[in-house]
Amino acid sequence: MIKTAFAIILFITVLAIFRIWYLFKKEKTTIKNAIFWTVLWIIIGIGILVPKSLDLAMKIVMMENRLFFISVMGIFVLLIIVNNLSISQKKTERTVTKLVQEIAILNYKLSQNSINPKKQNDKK
Amino acid sequence: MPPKIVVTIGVLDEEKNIAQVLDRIPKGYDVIIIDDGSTDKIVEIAKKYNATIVKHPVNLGQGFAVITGFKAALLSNYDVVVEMDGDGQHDPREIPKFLKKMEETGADIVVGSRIIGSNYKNAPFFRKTFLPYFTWIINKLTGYSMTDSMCGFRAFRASSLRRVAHIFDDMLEPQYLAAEMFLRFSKEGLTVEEVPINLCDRVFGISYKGLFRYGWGVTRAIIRTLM
Repeated sequence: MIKTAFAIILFITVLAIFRIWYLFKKEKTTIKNAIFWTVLWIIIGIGILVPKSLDLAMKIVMMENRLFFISVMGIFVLLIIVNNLSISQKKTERTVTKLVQEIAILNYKLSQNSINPKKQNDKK
Repeated sequence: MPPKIVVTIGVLDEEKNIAQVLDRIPKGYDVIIIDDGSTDKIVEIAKKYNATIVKHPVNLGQGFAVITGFKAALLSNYDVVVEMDGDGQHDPREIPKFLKKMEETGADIVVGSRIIGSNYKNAPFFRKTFLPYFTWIINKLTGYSMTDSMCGFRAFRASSLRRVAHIFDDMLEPQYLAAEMFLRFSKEGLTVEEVPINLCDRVFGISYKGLFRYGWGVTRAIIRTLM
């Protein structure tokens, strides 16, 4: 039963890594994103399949409880992801705002040109 | 030769208020209405008054509408750009007061003050409590002597506005325009004078500004601009 569970976990990990690189090849994600998720999935896979591999990391952060360590690390990773998403969302928001303003000004310029075509011809 | 004046009015669903505002605009002034994603018939009403419409395809917020208004106004050869609200609280018949002050003092910006104007006793709690506090902070940081830094009824000398127009392309908190604007304008050497204005009560609709959200937004704008 444990061997079956390990096999499933290994399968999911490998599948996830393949999917990330498939998306990268299709230019649907960046190399930075692909590397981040690959490393994360490898760590998750190793951590689940070989729990003792976590012991070194636990010693470094001076934690003794493996479950607590995994929970804290999980929260830490989620915070990093949320932070990156927040930065990306703000950047997109600013871009959309600029675009909306540019569209408004462009339409205004066009309407002014259609009202005063003579001025436009004089400039030429 | 009299100065060429344009009045920029940012609006969001103000079809019930805009007609009385436009009725009171002194003759000879051009009007640019910045429609910030309205879903009512304000554009049709404004066109009857020969106002020029600049339309945001989606709602961005008041600060962005003001900035778009400035950009549109600066495309033409106006001498003075007057910014005001479209909800009927600002009386366009007081615009000559701004122009007179600008001419007398040579100021780059003339702001309307609700504090030294009438009807201040009936002002909402936020305005009475927090507005003097925020204005004091902005005065300390800029060297200006305003009594009301948050009033959206202002006149700008177009040549001065053109000189600092680049500021509007990278504002940190455009939604809370006033605080950041004055802080950055003071660094550019723009001068500010004040005139009292008589605030009218909004006839229809409600303000979209939340009490604490606006206060927090202004605080954040000040901190971020200083950083």
